Amino acid sequence: MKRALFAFAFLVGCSDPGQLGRSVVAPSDAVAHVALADVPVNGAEVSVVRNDESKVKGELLEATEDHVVLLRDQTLVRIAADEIRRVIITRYENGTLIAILTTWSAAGAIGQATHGKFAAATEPIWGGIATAAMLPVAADEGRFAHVEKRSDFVFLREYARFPQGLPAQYAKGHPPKD
Amino acid sequence: MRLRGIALAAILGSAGCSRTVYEAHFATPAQIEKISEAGTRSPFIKVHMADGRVFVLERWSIEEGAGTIEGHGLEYSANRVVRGPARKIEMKLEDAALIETNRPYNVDVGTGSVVAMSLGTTASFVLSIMCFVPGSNCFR
Repeated sequence: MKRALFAFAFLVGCSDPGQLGRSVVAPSDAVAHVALADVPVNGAEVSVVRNDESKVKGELLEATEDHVVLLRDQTLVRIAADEIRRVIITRYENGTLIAILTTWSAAGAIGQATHGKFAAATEPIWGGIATAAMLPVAADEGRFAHVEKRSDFVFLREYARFPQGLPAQYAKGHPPKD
Repeated sequence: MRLRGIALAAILGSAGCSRTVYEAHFATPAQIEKISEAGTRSPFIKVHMADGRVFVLERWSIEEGAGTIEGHGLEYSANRVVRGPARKIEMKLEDAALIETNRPYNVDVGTGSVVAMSLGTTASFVLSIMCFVPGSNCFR
């Protein structure tokens, strides 16, 4: 049983990254009800890996065939496409769920003490369940989409705050004041 | 106590196990027919303006003949500060830089994990109760 759980976790953990483009038709039975004010209007959080392996993280403001522009600490960072090895797009976050499962796991481990001498058996069982439960969530690759080819840069635009292109008032390198 | 555990599992199950992502299709005002099919199933539409503002509309419609788009929605500045309350908005398509349809859908994240933890917690809880019943030999 434990072996099967680990095999499941391994398989899920090694799942493929999420689809790159946003135009794939979503299944009808998965449609979510979202309030108007909750529709996101910012760009996706991305991690740009340069050719020298240095990383820049920030909100994607603009993406063209030639460059990307990120917003990081209220400063615009422009990176030429030639300098980029890959871009990792965060499609959704699951950090909260990992935190909940970790707390749950710890509380459950402490709770095994209430089993008295049987805790010697139930503690490792709980450890196996908690590990098998957390692994697939922590290793969920579906939350990321990867851009590694220059031809895929066209998809990056779909995750930008300004898919139409950076507005002129951003040209000075800082966001304008409202 | 047990009810509380079940309630917690239910909350986690409903709030913690899915994430919302958005199917999106893009078109310039001149190519609006490109997204007409996707638009029929999209509850939201975003109208991106050249100056960086964006209008997010629901209950929206496009009058191709008149070249207008209207709906009920919110206006955000380029810095994404909301401008005023939700209201009826109507504008000319030619004033927009880009149109984006948005259809939210849920991606399952860890339902199996929460179910496994819930089952483990329930079994553990039952054993805890049995251990505290007078006469049990858990602590002897």
